[in-house]
Amino acid sequence: MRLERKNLQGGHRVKSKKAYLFLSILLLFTFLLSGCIRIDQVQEKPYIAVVSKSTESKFWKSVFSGVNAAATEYGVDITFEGADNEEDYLAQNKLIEEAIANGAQAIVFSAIDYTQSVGVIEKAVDAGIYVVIIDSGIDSNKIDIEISTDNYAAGQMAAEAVLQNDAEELKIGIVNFDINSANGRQREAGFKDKVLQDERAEIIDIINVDSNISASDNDTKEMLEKYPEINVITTLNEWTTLGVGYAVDELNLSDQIQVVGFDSNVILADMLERGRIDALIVQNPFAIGYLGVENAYQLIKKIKDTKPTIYTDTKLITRENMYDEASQQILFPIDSE
Amino acid sequence: MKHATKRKKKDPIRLSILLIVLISGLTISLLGICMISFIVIYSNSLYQAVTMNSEQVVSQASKTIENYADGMREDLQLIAAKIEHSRSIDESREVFDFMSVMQNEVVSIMLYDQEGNLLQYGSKGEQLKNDIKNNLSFDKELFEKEDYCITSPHVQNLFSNYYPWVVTVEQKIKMDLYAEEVYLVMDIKFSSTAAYVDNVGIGQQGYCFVVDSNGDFVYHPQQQLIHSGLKKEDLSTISMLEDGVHKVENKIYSIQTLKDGNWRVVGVSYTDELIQSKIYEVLKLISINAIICIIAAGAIIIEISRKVSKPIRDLVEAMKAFEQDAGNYRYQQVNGIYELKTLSSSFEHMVVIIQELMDKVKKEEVTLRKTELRALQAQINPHFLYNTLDSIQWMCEQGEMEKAVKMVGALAKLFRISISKGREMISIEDEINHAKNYLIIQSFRYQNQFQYRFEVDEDILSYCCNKITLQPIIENAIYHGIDRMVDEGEIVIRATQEEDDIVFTVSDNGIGMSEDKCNNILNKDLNNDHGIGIKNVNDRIKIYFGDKYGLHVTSEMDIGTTITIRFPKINENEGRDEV
Repeated sequence: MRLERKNLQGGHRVKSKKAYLFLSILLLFTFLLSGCIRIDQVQEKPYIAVVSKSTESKFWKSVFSGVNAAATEYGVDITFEGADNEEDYLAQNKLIEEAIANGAQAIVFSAIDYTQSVGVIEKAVDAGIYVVIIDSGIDSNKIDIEISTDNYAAGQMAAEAVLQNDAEELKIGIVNFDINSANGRQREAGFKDKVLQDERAEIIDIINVDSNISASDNDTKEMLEKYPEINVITTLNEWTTLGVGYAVDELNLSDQIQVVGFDSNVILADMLERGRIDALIVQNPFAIGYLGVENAYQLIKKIKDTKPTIYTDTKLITRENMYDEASQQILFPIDSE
Repeated sequence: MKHATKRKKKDPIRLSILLIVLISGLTISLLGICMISFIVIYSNSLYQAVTMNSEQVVSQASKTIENYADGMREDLQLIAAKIEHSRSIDESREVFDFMSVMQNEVVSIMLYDQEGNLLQYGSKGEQLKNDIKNNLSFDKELFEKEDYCITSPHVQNLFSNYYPWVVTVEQKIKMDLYAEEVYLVMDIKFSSTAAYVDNVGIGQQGYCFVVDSNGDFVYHPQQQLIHSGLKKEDLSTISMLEDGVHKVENKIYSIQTLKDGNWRVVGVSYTDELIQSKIYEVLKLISINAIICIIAAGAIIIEISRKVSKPIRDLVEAMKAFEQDAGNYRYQQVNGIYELKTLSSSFEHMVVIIQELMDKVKKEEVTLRKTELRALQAQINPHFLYNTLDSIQWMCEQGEMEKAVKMVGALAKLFRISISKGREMISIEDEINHAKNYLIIQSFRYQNQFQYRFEVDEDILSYCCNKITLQPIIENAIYHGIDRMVDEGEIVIRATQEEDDIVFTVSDNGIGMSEDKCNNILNKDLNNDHGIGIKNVNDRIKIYFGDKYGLHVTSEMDIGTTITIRFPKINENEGRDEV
């Protein structure tokens, strides 16, 4: 009886020892695991893919600076990629597909084409990726936030600059870029609505050119040959402004023709100083890039309900105010070197 | 009953609940204390670390910018020394070109007269504009005031298609070539400084910017946002703060004024972001651990409950069961920790011993009772004897000899059977005869008061029964049933068999008994003349044959009483063996 009991207890003790060993191993394991969780948390930065129209123009470089500033500030990983030329929406769509495949948590996107990227963007939205549109939108209501220049207002600002011209008649030629681009159309609409309120104004011709210097240069020359009476040219982005500036200069029409353009770079600043261009509507690309990433970050972190549309400011820069302290920083962003 | 009520009143806590409350309470409070003290210590040290970090970063940045400014000044002095005594414009120009090409950061070196007319310049080959309007690199007011000065960053607009951001350093010098003092001016690229300031990070979201002594921005990494009103910097507060680290709302400002007293470097970091997010992270970690600890505590509780609490409960149940029915209790050992198993086996041991003891006591008790009863039986109630002898005497005196002889005979038989050589068990025949003799005697005493009748199954006469079972019952029937009747009563005695049992019934048609009395009759020792009560009969049968057997009383007021005696068939031999 006594012997039996002893045996029984011995057996049980081994069993419970095993249980305690198991329990302590489990505890140790969980502590190790929780340590891992922490390391993961530290390493895990949100990834935001920025897909732009281009990476070359001054405008987009400045957007990139803003994107970088926000990325540093909020500690996010970003990629900044764009199409090689500002008509290649297929390249953009491919970049978006890649961003989806790479597990981007948000995509900051500027559309080349108002309609062609809708499918791929909606696919991203359906995959749970936040989409922030900057600068130029698409035909979709699934977009979380849109950040851009108020293009209609910017168009109106260009019109105001034109209307300061004291010529008796304003024979206006408009050099716009890709007809499918939303912001180009909005700028044009704003400009037309405002400028045509003045009786002096008459729109002679509107051309849509490829968004590069040479196309704009050539097509502008063509237009000016066709309609020599034009004394005002409004052109609606950086490349077309450069093209128009060159065309006017090459035709020696700087003094006769008032040129109101968009955006800025060193050459445009020079043209403005020399009088080949008379006014520039300068957007705030840095702010667009910065706000794009900031809002994407806030969406990812669900920090607050951001407004669906955010407009960044534009400034009218003329020869007279170009060296004001405030204008200096807009016209010559410090990241220009 | 008493036990139960006491239980209900105090409702003592169960061990398992006590353990759960204790362990989980201890775990939670311990974790809570750890958490709070950890957070306090951690946030304090974090705040210190953050403060120190931002102080270090700002001091580093200040030093870098100071070095940069010193370098510029040294360069300018070097150039000044070289051109001071140059004899021709070409000679000094050579120095300018050489220096501006050599020094990567230098955009251009200029020499102005006091009106701002450009006298000479050297550059990296950029084309000077034909008509320079509004030269941003020449600040007449500032230059007149100081011998040496540095301007805020601005755009340089001297060369065509080249608009770099520069800071301008100026020194008044006297040259052999010019009669009046001239301004030696050097424009130095600001972009590298800007890039440096851009890259100064404090924590995750902290940054650095530079203000001048007036409290205006010299450079801010996000000045475009500030210009467009998207971001604000509280410059008025900052201009009031002295050098050092200050906490303003949720921001930590670390400010340092540069050596020359002109520029101040301001580091901004966020307490929220740096401390709270870390604490939040730590809290998350701690809560994960807390949950794990609580789960572990739960596991431990379950284990303890399995190993300690449940066995104790089992043991308690076992003891309760034992308490309720000790005789038939079968013990099942409990599992659990060593101590409990020891306790359990001790209890088992105790159960066995107690049961053995109980059996022993029972047997001893039975023996004792038997002895007692036998002693009782042996007694002759003196009243009965006296009454009977008195009756006989009276008969003799009346000359009713026949009756007297019958009575004496009956008395003699009664006593002979009563004694029965001291045996407990006698044949049913003898018992019936005993009853008959008793009734003969009583019928003389209670003349004409009752009649009696025997209905006996002849087959059972040879079986045995306890002696003097019928007599006390008949006695009861006479004294409590018939005696008080007005009419003549009748007593019927039946002896029958029912399967393995013998059943005697004694019925009377007397006044009957109340329910209380029926109960009492079996439980109380009612003394009667013969000394042996009904209870005694019942007890004896139960002691000999078990609880199944014994007496049963049915009675109805004014109708009569029937007492049934049941006991098993016992053969003569068995009956003898009993004694």
